[in-house]
Amino acid sequence: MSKEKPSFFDRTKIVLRDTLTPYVSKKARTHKTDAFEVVEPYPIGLYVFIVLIIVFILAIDATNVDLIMFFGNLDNMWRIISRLFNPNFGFIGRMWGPLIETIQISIGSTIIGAILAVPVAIFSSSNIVKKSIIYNPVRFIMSLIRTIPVLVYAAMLMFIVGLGAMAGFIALTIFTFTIVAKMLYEIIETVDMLPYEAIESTGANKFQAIRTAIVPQVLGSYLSIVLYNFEINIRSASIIGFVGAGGIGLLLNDRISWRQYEDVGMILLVLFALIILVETLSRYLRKRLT
Amino acid sequence: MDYSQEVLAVYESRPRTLFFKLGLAAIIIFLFLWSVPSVDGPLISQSGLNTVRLMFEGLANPSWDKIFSLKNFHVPYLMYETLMVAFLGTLIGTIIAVPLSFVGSRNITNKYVAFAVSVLVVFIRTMPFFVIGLIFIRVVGPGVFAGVLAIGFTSTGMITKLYTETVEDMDKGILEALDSTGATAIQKLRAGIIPQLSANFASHSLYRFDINVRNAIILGLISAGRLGFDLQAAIGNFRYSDAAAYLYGIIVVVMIIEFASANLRKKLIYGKR
Amino acid sequence: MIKFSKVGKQYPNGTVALKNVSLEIKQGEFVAIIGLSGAGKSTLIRLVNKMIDTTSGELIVNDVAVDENLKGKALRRFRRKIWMVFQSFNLVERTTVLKNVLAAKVADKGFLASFFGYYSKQDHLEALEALNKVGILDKAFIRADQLSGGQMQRVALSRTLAQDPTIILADEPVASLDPVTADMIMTDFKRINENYNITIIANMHHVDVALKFVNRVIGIRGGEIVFDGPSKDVTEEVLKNIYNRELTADDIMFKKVEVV
Repeated sequence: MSKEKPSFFDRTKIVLRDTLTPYVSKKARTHKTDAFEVVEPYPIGLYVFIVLIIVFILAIDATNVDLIMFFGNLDNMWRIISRLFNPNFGFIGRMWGPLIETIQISIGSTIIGAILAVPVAIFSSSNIVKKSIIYNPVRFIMSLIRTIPVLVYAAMLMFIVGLGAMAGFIALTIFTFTIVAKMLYEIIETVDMLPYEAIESTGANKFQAIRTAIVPQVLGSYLSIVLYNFEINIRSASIIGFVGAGGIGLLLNDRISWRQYEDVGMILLVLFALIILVETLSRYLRKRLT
Repeated sequence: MDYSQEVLAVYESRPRTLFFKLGLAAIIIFLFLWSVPSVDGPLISQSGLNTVRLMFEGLANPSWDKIFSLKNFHVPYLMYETLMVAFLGTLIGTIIAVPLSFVGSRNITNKYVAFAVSVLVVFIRTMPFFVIGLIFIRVVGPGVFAGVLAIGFTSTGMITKLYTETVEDMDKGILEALDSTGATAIQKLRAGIIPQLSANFASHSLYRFDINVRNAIILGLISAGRLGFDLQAAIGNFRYSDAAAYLYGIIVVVMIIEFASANLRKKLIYGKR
Repeated sequence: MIKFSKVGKQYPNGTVALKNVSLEIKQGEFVAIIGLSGAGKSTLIRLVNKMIDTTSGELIVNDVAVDENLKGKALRRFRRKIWMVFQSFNLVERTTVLKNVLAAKVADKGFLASFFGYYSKQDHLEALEALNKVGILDKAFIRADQLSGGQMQRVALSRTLAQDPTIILADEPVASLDPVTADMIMTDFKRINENYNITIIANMHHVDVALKFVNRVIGIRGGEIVFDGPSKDVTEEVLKNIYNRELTADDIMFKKVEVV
């Protein structure tokens, strides 16, 4: 007997049944064989998709997305971009000072932040400070400080210490301090504690035991962490100038306000080069350290 | 006490690392001293201390009316708006990143094309998102829309990079197995590729969403957003209680998203259980 | 001299590790403590340098009463003369052998010296001399994790020697070593014990090793001392009593077992 191809109507019915029933009955999601029985997890993909669509619509409303205006002004954007790609090399003279200031801010804040982070990291490590009464609050406060973005700190600090590099310096120091402390205590907790106990059993106090048994184990990672932070700080330092906290960001903001996009393009180019340089250097040093 | 000959000999032959360490320390100290004095500006001044005191007073006594109302431009609305901005920006980045990441993966296209894409990605990632924000302000005017576009543009960079890493890690063996059973392209996509990638893709986008929430706030500082702008304006106008309210809003939003995204991502990577 | 008088140790969760232990060890003895795991060997050893506290009874070590009054500076000074050698060597793997041995002296250093890791010429020479005594002077500047197990244990040993202790407590010092190396290490222990009159108390897992090298054996079972006498008095009966079973291959290190 030859099999007839089922009609289009029947095939549609089958497809609909197969796709829709898993949503309503557990039995439809169960696959049985002789050996075992497998239940597919509930297919939430569709619901996730619907939620995303709803959020999407809400978001468009909330953010005043105006595509008409956007496409209308697109030529403006191309004009700016083309000017950006035509950098003004003569501008380097004026850039030098702020650039140096940016580098100085990043180096200084990285060093101070890294040093301050060490005692805090020790106090956040559960294997050195065994009482959770101490290390849990410390960790919590640090993560609290970390939620506020650097630039917000810089903006707030400017009202306290005035316009200028100091605000950015302090903001970056705080930032470095929180991140280094977190990464450091995570490393400290993976350390082998046996030599530490051995040294303690010889009569050394906690400080000495840490210095001889733990420091050699974490030193390499610590320096690697500090270099990584330096990378991040170079980027942040170039930005904080935007809110007036010193460095090349200030110049950048100024040039953009005056619509001197050729100068802006030059600054971006130099920044690009600087960041790539710092990243390559840091990557190389960090490979050597571990 | 007398020491034996061999001991003395070994002692003399010890590696002299002292100079090296001193040199290193000297470099660091020099760098440090060179960096710090340039950072001028009075650290402690009368008005500065005053401001600090006022800020702490504001923190202790934030504008509760702004925190607990659902009116426009009060804290909950601002938090909601910030999240929406970050969401749209991340969405834009994701939509562009999906095709772009496939083009940029060495196992889909050849290595030259992939390299070109990676250069593009590096370029996007080094542009400070501030600058992008300011440019978009010139295009669509100040406000959250510019923020959305800026975040969308810069997210593309990181999301594409993360996506290409995932795509390059993809296991082609499954595709071959499906091929051998006679699967069509769409079936291969659905059964072979999508399950492998979707969890990781979702995780990467969530990661970027977390970062974008902070960026959305920061963009406010240059008026490509609102929450950050309001915070700065409040401090500038000496409305410290309002500022504190906004600050608490910022902290709460960032912490919630950080917590939620970390958990969701863990569940995505390790299986929904 | 070490004197336990009716010492007991009970952990907060109720486990009784030791009960009614009375023991006297004179200066210069080489004693092995044997028994099943969990019988109380580790506890006994750790009471001597107060890594664990007693819950009853009296313990006097080197004329110092080891009780809750011994703490802080006095405790640290007390511990300078008593040294522990561990099964897992407990070396700092990333630094050189010499630095590991010098670490022994850090407890005597002031704040600045410890911070910078500074040791005097005399410290260096003493450390090198200690390395020489165990025969690994040539490895002085090599990173500790590049040594074999036996060499690491010898470094640990020279770490203790560098400070001229009066008592050495060894917690399963050869348990993770192969028989040849174990033999070498135990010979070192014996030599140190005889030449420098240092009391050595060693927890031993392997009965035959213990019997071969020490003159006095203490057997612990269930937290109590069930045997205390010269090694030649250890018969199969005695061992069965201590271990509460026949000896298995696990308890023996060398292939041929000679008991008595």
